[in-house]
Amino acid sequence: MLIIRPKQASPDYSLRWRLLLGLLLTSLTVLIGRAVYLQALDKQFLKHQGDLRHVGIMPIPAHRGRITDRHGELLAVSSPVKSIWVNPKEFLKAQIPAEKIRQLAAQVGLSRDEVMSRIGNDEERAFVYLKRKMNPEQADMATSLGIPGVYAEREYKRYYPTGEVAAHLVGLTNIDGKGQEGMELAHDSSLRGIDGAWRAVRDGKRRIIERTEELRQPVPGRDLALSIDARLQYIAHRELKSAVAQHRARSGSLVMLDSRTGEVLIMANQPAFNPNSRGKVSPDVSRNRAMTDLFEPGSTMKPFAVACALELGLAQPNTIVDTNGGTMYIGRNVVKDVHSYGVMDVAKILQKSSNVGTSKLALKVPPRKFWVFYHNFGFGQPLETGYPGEARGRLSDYHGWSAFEQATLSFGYGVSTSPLQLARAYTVLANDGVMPMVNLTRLDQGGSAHRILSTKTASSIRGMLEKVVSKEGTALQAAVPGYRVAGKTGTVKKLGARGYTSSRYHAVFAGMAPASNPRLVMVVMIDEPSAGDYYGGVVAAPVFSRVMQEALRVLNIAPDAPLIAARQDSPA
Amino acid sequence: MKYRTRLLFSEVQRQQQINEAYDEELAQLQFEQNKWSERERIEKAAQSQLGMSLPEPTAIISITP
Repeated sequence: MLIIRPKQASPDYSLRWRLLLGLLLTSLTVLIGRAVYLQALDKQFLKHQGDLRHVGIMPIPAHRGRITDRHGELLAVSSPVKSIWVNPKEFLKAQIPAEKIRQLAAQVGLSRDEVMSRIGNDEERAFVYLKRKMNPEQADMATSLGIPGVYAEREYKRYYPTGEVAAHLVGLTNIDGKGQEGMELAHDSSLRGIDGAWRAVRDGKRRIIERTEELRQPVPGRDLALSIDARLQYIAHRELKSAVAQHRARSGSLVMLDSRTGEVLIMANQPAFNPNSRGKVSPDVSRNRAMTDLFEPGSTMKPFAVACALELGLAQPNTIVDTNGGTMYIGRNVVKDVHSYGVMDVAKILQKSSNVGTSKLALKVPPRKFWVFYHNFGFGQPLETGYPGEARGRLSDYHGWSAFEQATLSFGYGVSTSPLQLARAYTVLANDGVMPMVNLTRLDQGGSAHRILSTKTASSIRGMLEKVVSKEGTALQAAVPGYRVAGKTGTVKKLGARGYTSSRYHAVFAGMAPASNPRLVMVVMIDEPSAGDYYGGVVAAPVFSRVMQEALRVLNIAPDAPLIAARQDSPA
Repeated sequence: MKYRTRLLFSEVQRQQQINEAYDEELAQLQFEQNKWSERERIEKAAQSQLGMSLPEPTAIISITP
């Protein structure tokens, strides 16, 4: 049977339907609009975002300039090396088998545990150095193991071919190739060059897939030619090392200047360090003492005090001075000589190194003039070489001087100087009264110079200093066969906690050769010789003699003294 | 165009790698040269192997032009 039920009215959904359609259309329009906007109108935004993820700017390290000696011999050079770095994020995700890690560890010269501890557990890190500056071949072998997340990067390593011989002057760079000490620091900006850059496209794993363009070429650093002569530097290093060891001294310094140009030919220090082994170097060892350390020059100052009296016409070379049996009272203070020398002329005062005689001459000079004189010789004045940490020394103001202080200044106490400053002062005597500016880099044309002293006084003092290097003088051991040598010894009491000690000394010798027409000025300073001998004439003078003898030979400087035996011994 | 760029680019990279290899070799050779020419080594060799010594000052004749 058919039952007819009343037809149920179907509800009218059309409104809902239209509403929905409208909503969808609106959303669609908005989306299309946005897409059009991004793609067509504001496309830079998306491109930039994409590039940020895939294009990187990579630096190209610039080649650091080389440091050479005056003849072009290499003292510091950058050679290409590779550094291995790891992306821990990739590395840890890859679950590398232990065997592979062991191979990697062997290649980089670390133990497996060291490798793992460097990489760490932090999965968010994306960069850690595993081993820096290794042999490029080994680095290539490490990356060729195919371990995910292990990469090699090109870098430069600084290498110092002469090792410890010139280490103090040349200085050091840090592991990132930036100058840290010495000339590496002083000339860092010109040595460094300018890093280049290139743009790279990388894939999702940040591997470089395309090298799109070079943004800038790296500009290599400029080479630097120092004034030192590597041949002489080696000789000095060898002799100084053996002298410091022989006399069980704390330290020693030796500088040699070309007396005409002011170029530093040798700058050696002991103790020394090997700049190629990157251990921790204590400042006690790495300090360039010849420039940074001050000492009281003692008797090596006497020539200047005497020169002052001669220059001002207050004494003549033949002026007779009575040294009163070696003792002189100034107020409540006493100036003493080691021996009593009685009545002497000026030359003999220097020859015997009489404190009393020098004091008497110095006290003839008004304090202001005396101060100006020392000041002009460069005491208490910077060397202006641009070297980091160079000491300027100390010369106190004459306003506070007592007569006794002026007397002590005349024999080198109460004034402090670095070995290089003392050598600079001696160039005035060597160079007929003209002081050249001190230079640590090779001069290709003449430098500047100043007249400090008259030619007459300079040559007169030089003549007196020649007599020091004789049987009657204090420095026979500074003599060089075949050459005339002029110089002055110094045996300086060191200043301790309670005044001057009588057990610790500086042994000093400052001199020049050939005395007839000096070319080379040298200062040798040995700090606290403690093996018995401590006199400047016994400890420092022999070093002077040995180094000077070889230097004169190497530089082809003609002998100026007759060698009586020469004719008989010569094979011709 | 793109193809040519890629081709040239890979050529540049290849040449750069060759250049790097030469750089490395040069550094290695310089290092060796320095090792062999160390003054201390030469001095020792001259004295012990070749029996050389510095002439006495008396054995040197200097000639002035």
